[in-house]
Amino acid sequence: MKNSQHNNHVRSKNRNTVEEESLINQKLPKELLLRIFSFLDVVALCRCAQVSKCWNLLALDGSNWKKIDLFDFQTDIEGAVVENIARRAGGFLKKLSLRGCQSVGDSALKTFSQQCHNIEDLNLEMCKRITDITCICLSRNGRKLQKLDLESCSNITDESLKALGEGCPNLVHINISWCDIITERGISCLSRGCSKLQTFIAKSRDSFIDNECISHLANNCPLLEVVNVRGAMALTDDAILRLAQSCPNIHYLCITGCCNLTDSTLLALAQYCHKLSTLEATNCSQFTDNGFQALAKNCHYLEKMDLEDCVLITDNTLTYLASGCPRLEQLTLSHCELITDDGIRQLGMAPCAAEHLTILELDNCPLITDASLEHLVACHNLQRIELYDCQLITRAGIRRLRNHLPNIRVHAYFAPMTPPPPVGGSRQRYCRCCVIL
Amino acid sequence: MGDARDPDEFFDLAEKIIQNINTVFEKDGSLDEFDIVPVESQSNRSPVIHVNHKLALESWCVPFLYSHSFKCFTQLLPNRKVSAGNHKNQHRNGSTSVRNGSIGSHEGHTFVNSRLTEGDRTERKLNLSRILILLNPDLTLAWNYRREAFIQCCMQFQHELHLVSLVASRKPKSSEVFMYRKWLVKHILNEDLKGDNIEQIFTREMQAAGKAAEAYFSNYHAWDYRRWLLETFLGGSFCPDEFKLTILNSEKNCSDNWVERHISDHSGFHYRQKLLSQMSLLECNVNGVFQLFTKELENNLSLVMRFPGHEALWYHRRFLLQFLVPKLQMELTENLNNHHQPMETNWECEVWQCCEDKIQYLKKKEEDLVKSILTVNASLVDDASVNFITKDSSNLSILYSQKHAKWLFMMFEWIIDNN
Repeated sequence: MKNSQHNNHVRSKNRNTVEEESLINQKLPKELLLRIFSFLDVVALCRCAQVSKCWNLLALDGSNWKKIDLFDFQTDIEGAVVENIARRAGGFLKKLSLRGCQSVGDSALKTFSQQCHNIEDLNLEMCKRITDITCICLSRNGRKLQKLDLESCSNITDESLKALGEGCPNLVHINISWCDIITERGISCLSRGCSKLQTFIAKSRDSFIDNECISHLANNCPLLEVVNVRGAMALTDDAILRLAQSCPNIHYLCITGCCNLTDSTLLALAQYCHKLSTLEATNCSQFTDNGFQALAKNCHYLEKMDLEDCVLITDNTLTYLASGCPRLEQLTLSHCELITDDGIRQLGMAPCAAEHLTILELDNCPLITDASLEHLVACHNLQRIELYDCQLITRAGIRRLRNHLPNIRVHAYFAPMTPPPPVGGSRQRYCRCCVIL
Repeated sequence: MGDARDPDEFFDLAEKIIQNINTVFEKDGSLDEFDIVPVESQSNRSPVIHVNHKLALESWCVPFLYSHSFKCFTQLLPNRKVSAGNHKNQHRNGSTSVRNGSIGSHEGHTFVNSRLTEGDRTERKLNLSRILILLNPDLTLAWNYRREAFIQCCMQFQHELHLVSLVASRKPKSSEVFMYRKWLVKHILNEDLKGDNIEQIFTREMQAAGKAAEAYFSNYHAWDYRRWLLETFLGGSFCPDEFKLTILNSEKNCSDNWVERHISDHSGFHYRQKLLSQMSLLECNVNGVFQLFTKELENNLSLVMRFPGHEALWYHRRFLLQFLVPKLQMELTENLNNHHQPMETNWECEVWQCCEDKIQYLKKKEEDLVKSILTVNASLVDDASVNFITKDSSNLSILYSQKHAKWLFMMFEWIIDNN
């Protein structure tokens, strides 16, 4: 009895020493192990941390935790987890995504901002519990912050933007979509403090963004490249003119839902923003061929255009785009009911067609017929074409297009020929004994 | 989509249809009917039809839509083994393109689910389960998910009831529909107990049950739900007494009307029986009950005579007798036990005599009924000028009346000459 106890004791002692000097730890210096760990993801690191004391130290070393994305664990993340990570990672942490982690609140982010003062990229999308306190702490401690995503954080007010403007002069990217209690005053403070801003995203349904806001941005942030003001229904042409004049670098502009804009907007863009590559203008129903003529003449880098519900445009717009925009990749013409086969023919013969055009959306264009599809056979790069509700399109037409472009995805309301797979998973039909027999 | 390709070829199509359906629900809060119309896929037109607050799907898309929705839905549920095959692998590297709030589609089934935030997941699950129950109301899985979500306050009571009615408009006979309805009402009764609300809920639920009963003959689930409602509201302390009376009266009227028009719907009669027994509780003495039930017996008699060959009527009669006669007999024996000595007062004597008389009266009535049925129908069966449909029902009538006589003997030992 005594003997065995003694043995146990010895063995456990042995085990400890064996762990310390197990082969991998002997052969590899700690620096190298650390280097290996730095390639692992969160789950693997946490597993390694459970191997031994030595590995625990190495795996939880801050240098492995420079970039963390907790999106996959969104429901499990509590404030305490974030605080722990912040303490472990400290100054190493540069990029953290808490997207969708709804139970994280101000206190956790307060600790976080105190511990991780080198943070550069912080994503707080859908962290609905955070308030201005978070942003105030961030502005106090995070001078290096460059990217901040506050999408759907509905408690954020002007105070936050004011604090950010004062404390984060390096901010390059800000997303305040669906933060509907912000006003023009907040934007003014933010734009004054963060003059390096390149990306400004403020999507909403009927947003607070008005001409004042845009002129603040235009006056203070000349480096803007990406602007998304989707749903800013109050905007008028003047605002876009100001923006275009002072921010010549804009290459992405989303003015979806700004239904007061007219051709003057397009003229302004054509005159000043020659680098424009993406234009999303769904529902801008006052745009006409004239505006697009100017745009196509001057903005040769256009790649993506979303013109859904621009109901006034006709085949002429397609002609201009075909001749002026050789890089066009994506073109959305949904609900543009005046488009006919002739316009598509122009597009099919354009320089962009052969190599660049990948996505073409023509759903609800009632005048399009099979002839349009014939004109598109030369678009070798075409990957997807939307034809929902184009009632003149037939199955035969689609089949002919498929013969030329075998990899294309055609979206139309035709029933697939193959029967659907059975529903309900694969349940065993026979009992086990029948299988054995 | 013309040619047979990879198994996911209908993926985009199904997503588009789901999106269309969701748009209809968003736009139109007062949909009142859903159905599937048998149409072959011929033109490039959306299979979602929305006219005049009615929603319909063209039949060709249903198998694809259903299997797609089921697959996506089960993948979103936690800890399910159903079709979770390659879910885990794609979970990490799935890329999303959520554009304009709609879900783009490139990789296959799983990616759609993988990068959604929790709120979006809930919304998608609700949308998918809505489509699933519209297409197949017997899918308990989907109903249960909605129950879970309802407890977590993800949706409104009114909206849910509305959806249930919509499902019932296509499948009035589905038991799940009424189980869910029952669950919802139970839930809401536990929570808010305001007078106005109670009446509103009651009348609306009664209407819903009535509509379902109207839509499908002998709809057991609808009548059972109605019975449950009646018993819950009459038995519940949350319901004011005067409202209980109005409930009983209005339901009696309603049932009178129904029984006249649906003489062979046993479910309807069963409800009436429950109603009558509830009403009998309100009567203070046997006399009242006797009056109520003899009136009902007379109504039944006229129906039996007018519509020969409907068994439900005879069963209803059996219930009435079985309810009434033992009550009278009990009264009789009680009086006997109380008075071992000969009756002293005139009044007691009268009561005793009265009960005895009533039983004799009932017996006489039954005898008359059986005899008259037998004589009338016997002559009809022999009559060569009568067509075979009438003969059929006459034969049935004879059979039922003979059965009735036998039953009377078994039950009360009343001997009725049935030759």
